[in-house]
Amino acid sequence: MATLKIAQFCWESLHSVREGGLSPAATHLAEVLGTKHEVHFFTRGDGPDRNIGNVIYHFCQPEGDTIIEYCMDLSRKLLTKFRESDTPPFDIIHFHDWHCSDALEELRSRKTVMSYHSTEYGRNGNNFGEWPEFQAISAKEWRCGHLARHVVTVSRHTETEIMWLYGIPEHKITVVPNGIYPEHYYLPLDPGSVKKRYGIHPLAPLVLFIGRLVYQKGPDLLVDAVPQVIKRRWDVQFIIAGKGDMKQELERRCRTLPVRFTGYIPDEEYLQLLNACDLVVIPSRNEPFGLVLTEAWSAEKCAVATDVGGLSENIDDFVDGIKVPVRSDSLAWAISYIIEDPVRIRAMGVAGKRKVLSRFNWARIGRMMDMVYTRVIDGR
Amino acid sequence: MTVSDEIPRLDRNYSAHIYGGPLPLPDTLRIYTPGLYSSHAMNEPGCRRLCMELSIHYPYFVGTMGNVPANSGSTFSRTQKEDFRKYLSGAVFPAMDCMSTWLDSGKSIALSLSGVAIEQLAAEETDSATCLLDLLKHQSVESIGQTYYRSVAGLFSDAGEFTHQVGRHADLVEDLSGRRPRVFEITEFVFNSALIDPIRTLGFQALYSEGSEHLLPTMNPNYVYSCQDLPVLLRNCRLSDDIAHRFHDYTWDRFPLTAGTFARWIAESPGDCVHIRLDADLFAVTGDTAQSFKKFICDLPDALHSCGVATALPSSVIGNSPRGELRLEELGMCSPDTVSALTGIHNMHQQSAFWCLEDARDLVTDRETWRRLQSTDHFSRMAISSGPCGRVLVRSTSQEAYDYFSAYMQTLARCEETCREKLRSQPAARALQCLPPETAFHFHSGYRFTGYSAHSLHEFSRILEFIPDEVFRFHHERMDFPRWISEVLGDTTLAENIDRCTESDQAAQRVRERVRELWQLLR
Repeated sequence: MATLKIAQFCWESLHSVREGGLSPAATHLAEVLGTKHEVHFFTRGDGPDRNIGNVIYHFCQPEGDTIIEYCMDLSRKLLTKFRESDTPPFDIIHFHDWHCSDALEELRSRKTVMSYHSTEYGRNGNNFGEWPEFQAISAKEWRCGHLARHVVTVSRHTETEIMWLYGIPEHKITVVPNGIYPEHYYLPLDPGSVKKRYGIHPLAPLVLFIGRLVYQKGPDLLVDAVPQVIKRRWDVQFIIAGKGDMKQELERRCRTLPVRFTGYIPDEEYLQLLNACDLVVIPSRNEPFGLVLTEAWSAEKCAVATDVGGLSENIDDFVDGIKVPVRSDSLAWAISYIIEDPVRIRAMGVAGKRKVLSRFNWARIGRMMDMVYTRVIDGR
Repeated sequence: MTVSDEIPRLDRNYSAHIYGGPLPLPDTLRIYTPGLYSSHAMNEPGCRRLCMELSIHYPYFVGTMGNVPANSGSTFSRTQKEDFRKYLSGAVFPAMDCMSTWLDSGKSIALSLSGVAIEQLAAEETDSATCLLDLLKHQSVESIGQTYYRSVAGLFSDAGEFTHQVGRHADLVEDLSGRRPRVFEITEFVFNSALIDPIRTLGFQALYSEGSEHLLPTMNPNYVYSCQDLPVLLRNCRLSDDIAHRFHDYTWDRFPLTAGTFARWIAESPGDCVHIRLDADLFAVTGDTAQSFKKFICDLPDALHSCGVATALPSSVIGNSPRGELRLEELGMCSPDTVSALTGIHNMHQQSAFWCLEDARDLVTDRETWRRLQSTDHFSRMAISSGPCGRVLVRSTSQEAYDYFSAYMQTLARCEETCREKLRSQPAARALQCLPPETAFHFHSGYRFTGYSAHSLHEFSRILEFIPDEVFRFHHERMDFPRWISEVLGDTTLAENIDRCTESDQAAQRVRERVRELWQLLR
């Protein structure tokens, strides 16, 4: 395949502003594509253009009173940056999520690809909203799917969701999962010493939740499950890491429970916790892909997850994790069930690691995205 | 041929463990799917040898509420002798009947007979018991070495006790059979790399361990591995558990398992030699189940013969060239300086009991009692599940596990109290004593119990190292620390000192220093 000139539009990246799972997904994809192609990454941030890991980053600092105005300004400023580099013209222009939809509108006649990492409906925990932002963002998501030459989703679930929500035809969509560098998440350490830092007994089983404390991610389901778990096994401890709107309320509910809230934690601390814990719980109500799952597997940890979205597709039940309905009592059952079996819990983690190595390695994901680009360029 | 002989081997248990969807499997993963992947497909020959190991062990259990009165003065269960007889008649003798058919048909078996089991057998003085001990002399029987009490001594910081127990077992076996064991069995992962040298010094030529589930991706337990130049034989846990756990499971889609099918699985499993372990407890079944199990075991020699599989003794396969180097930590054993999960110490209660037990070395003058309390079975009973790799799967409730822990700690505390008057300093011995849950220090945050308790001064200092500030403050403000230390442990000196500590690190340091002083008073 010939070397392409590729533009990636994403409102976050690992090298500037980082919000959630979108930044590692988009940044690493750009890096893996950068090994074969000329890749420019248009994103938020300060400073001049920089070449980091075979990718040329172009930054801008948008402004706006509402998220809609802010993203319109982001599109405008990134378009200016884009045009400065558009000679020779870009072969492929790839947009990640709706934030740069106005830029996509502007570049609609070019070879464009739109990636859905999630939908507004999903981010609201599978609920429709009546408020203006919800309506506006959903409209932009709908528009992006129809304007782009091709659409990429991170899971079959999201593919179905956008077909249903926005009427995007199936032939226009390709599923390309997120990749991962498992070696970035595996850390040989003594779990006991990490647990002790959190005031937890070295031999107490530790269950970890990592993610935004918002309704979509279901931390409230886990909190409701805690009393049921400790009724069966009194020594289980929980750490809920991350920040979000629900934090205060959850902390209030957990005052008498063995749950610790760490708030936002830096990457190094996250790695330590991930490798020290005994089980990772992903209680999301909607999860297009579930990056935490592949991170847990990379650290050879078993996951108990809700049977939704990408989690449902990627977990082989009772092989590399346990899938449960979106209910706190089901979560409690699965946590209690697997925490009792240290040998099996470890075997499931190792099975997950095998899957990550074979299915979610970035080299493979890069090849899949290459095929999408070829298809767009060929006009198929 | 039965139905199960004809079904391709894609059973739920196996596929659930091995397959992650339609992924291509690395060859090394196929080792436990003998019926699915023929040896020809693997380009590796199937196993032509089988080491069958029968394990007989019965520890001295401590009495829980039902079987030992509070003031009986008895350390162990008062029904110990009756229970052992039941074990003999229900499990051991039926197992030996089956194994006799193996020996009569020219097959060989390895016998893992613990020192405490031999000791109780000898005390029986019955013909059956004598016959069993005579089996050790049989040319086709090889005794496997182990710690005399099947104990946790391998986890102690000092290897002296471990060496003593292994040597004592080897001497006993040599007395009975005229042959010294050559292969040492690691029980319940209680071992670490620092013990390799003592084992070699004691004359052992190989280690026997369990091929854990998590080794699947990289290792084939049907080959010999080596660790610091000592050959390591690994049990095939899948095949062992086919007999131990799945044989009676009528929901298993390979049920009923026949000797012919099982022999074929062995013959098709790539490698040199399959190592199967059976606990004598597996024979403790009754009725039709017992008949079918007995028939299965007794039919196995002929079935193996039909499939071209011979039996072998462990010491005869240790000469095979090792497939690779193995780190003991990969098997789930701890490094010499840490006691991590998967070493037989999985939970806080086991940890508390272990620390108290190790400290009791200098507090219990009755060595025999102290050693009987070291059996790994005590620790298994403090967990709610145990039993992989050829052992009977034991599941108990949290309450049962806690009750056993409580009874164990009471027993240990009682032993220490009984022996206290023989020690150099009774106040020091009291301060260092093991405490049952009733008098342990339970840490609380003000809102809830933190989940951990100190059952000795030693454990108290370890917990102080990591308790959150709010927990320390809560107890400090209520003056719980000095009250517990003076009223329960009788150490007024430390009680006064700890009251002056305003931070947990400072308090931990003070307690550690005091523990050192107290040990000096005792030794």
